[in-house]
Amino acid sequence: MSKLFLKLATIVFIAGFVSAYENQGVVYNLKDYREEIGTQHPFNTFSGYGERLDKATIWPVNDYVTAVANFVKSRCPIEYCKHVLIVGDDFVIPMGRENFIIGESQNITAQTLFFDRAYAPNTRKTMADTEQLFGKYRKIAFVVPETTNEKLREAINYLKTTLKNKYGVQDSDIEEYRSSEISCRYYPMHPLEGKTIVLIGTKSTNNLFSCVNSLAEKEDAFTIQTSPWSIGGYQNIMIINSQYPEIVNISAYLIEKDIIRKRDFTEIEYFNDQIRTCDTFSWLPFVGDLGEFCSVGVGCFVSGSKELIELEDNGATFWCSWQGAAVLIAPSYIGKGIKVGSKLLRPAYVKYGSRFVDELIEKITQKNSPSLGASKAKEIAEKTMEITGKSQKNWTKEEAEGLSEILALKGSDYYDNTLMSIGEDSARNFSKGVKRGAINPINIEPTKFKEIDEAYKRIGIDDALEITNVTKQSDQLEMLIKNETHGGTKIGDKTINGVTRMTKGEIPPNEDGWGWIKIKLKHVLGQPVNGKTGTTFKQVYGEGTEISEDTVKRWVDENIQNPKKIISNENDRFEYWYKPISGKPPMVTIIDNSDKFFKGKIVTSYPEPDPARWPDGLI
Amino acid sequence: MGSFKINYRYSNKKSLETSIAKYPKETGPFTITSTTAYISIIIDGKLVEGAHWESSNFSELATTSTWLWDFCLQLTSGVIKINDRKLHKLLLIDDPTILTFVREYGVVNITASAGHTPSQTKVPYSEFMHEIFLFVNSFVSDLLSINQKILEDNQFKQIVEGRDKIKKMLEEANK
Repeated sequence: MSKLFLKLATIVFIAGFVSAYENQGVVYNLKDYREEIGTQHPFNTFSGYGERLDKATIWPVNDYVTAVANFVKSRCPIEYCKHVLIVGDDFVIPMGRENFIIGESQNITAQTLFFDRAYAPNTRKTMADTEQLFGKYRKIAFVVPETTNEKLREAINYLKTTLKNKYGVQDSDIEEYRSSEISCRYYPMHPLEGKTIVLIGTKSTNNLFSCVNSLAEKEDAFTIQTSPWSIGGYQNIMIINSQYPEIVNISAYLIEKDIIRKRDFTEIEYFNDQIRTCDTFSWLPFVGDLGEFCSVGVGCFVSGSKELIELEDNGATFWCSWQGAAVLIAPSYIGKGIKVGSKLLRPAYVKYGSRFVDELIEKITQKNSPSLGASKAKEIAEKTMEITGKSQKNWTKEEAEGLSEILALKGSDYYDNTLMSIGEDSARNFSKGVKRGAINPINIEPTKFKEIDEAYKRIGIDDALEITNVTKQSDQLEMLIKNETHGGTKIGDKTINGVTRMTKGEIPPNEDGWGWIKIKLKHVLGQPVNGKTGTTFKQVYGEGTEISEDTVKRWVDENIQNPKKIISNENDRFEYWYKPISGKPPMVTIIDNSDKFFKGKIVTSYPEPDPARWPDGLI
Repeated sequence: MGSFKINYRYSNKKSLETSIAKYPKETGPFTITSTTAYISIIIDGKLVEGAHWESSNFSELATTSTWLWDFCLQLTSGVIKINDRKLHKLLLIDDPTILTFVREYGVVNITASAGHTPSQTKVPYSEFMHEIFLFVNSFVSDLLSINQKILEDNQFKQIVEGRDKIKKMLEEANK
């Protein structure tokens, strides 16, 4: 580095400090905060920094930009630190980089643009920002109902303790008002001015609800909005709209356990009442993992709402989206809620005492806890069976646990009327499959399972579940077809020869999808997938009448077992061509057989009316 | 002599980045399905429009959308054999798009269709190879910029080898 450059850099540096000082600003020399920033610098050496406008590194630069931005924002709330100067640590402060598609139609090109929006403050806060809501220098005002009973008081105190422990909030920074003490109308020195507000209660118990956005009217919900009394739109109001102390407890619990951090939602809705209609006790045996909660919710709601879908987000599957809103399926016994008197577990208290329930709650509240130990799981399963009157003394632990999950999802009527209708042996197998994740009882009826079970036996596999060790919903079995022509199917670590399988598959957002779900949507129901439509079986073979899903599955089965032609290419893709109806165009079923991909799974199956695509020799 | 261009844009860049970043800890369908992209084939300056789009806006945007991973795999395996002077046909699964090419001395005869009447053109061999190279190279670079370990995947390795072979063929043609 030349002396001239060094001098120049020093002058710029000093000018920066002076400018910041004069503007009551703050200077962060990133070099001094390397540990606090936490993310490794994207360039290991100065010589490794070769950034150019036309050749920019995107990752991990963007990670670093995000980390620096979070660091700056966490150090000082924007309303106090309006002028921030960032000094790079031996490197130029990187701008965020994003690939934008530019142009239209045939002139589409991608171009990397540089942006600084990561550093800009966002006044619209979400669940991801609780740290900023309650961070340093924040004054917090609780506005509670006129009267608070003992349980609600206990819950409010728990929330306060959580904020103190979690964010280092001082007692002196927390105030509490009854709703009658606060006026909606803004006036200078309003008691809520410039504070983060925690509003608890309902419209009928807390007058302040009439001052906030109507979105907050949704009961049993936890919402974050901009405070009507904020200065410059920088402060927010956290609204817990519920009469139930349990909901306050759950909200505090979510904050305490960091469950809602990084969640870009502004609202969480608790389906407390509906949950209560579920079969309470059968939830008990599998509460060892928070990830199970969505399953509970699905089980409860599935009959009422087909729109309920599970969001797969980093394995935290208890988050769901329902009719476009973020929903947390949270049984009211989650967290400490149970300890303040939820009715849900009262019979369990009576029967087994508080110690048993406390142990259970302990398991629930351990985020990402390992599953229950074998003996504890068995104990809980057995007790559940006993409670529900479903004593299965001869069942294995795995089967019993599976049954418990089934009961949790479908209720005890299902056990009596549906599950046991296929016979105890098949019911045990079914339960075992559920426990192993091979069967989702929401999607697969026991009678259907029995068919599959028998299909396995037909192709010489005694224990069907031994090879259905699947963990993903997309891998759930739809069809198993005997087939010696493509080298078998890979399930987990095992390759099973002589079998083709069709699994449920999936259609992630903006992706083409695969498996039965794709075939069903695109070629049976005629719905577009990723904006594209496909030829339907009805169009080619239906002559105006519907072609049922069962018919298509039967054709797929025939297609695989009696193909007119098989074409395989170097990509390990097998095309099975078949004519389900003589004199009509063929259909084709594609099996991907590559190493790390579907390995023997059906990717798709569809009718092919275009003769240009038919293989040679297909008559 | 006509012109031939082919390009793409990802349908879900975020999904691509998160999926590829997980490799090899998590492999499986997501690795490939997350590469879903809008692919535009442009013959003589005109986009080859797909007949299968739900909305005409999509049809004007791109010829088709499919797994770019798979597309590149098929494309490279055909292009590296272009000197056999045979017709190479690229059929996308579950999609009416057909791309064919055949080398005829110094030119490549190309047809492309996506449910409509095929568009046809002829371009110099080196121009065709250059366009294919840019296309595949861009995909390879995208994935490597996310996660270098993706090179351990056999199929991806096959695409990279195909790209390198195409580059070599291109260099030889330009000598």
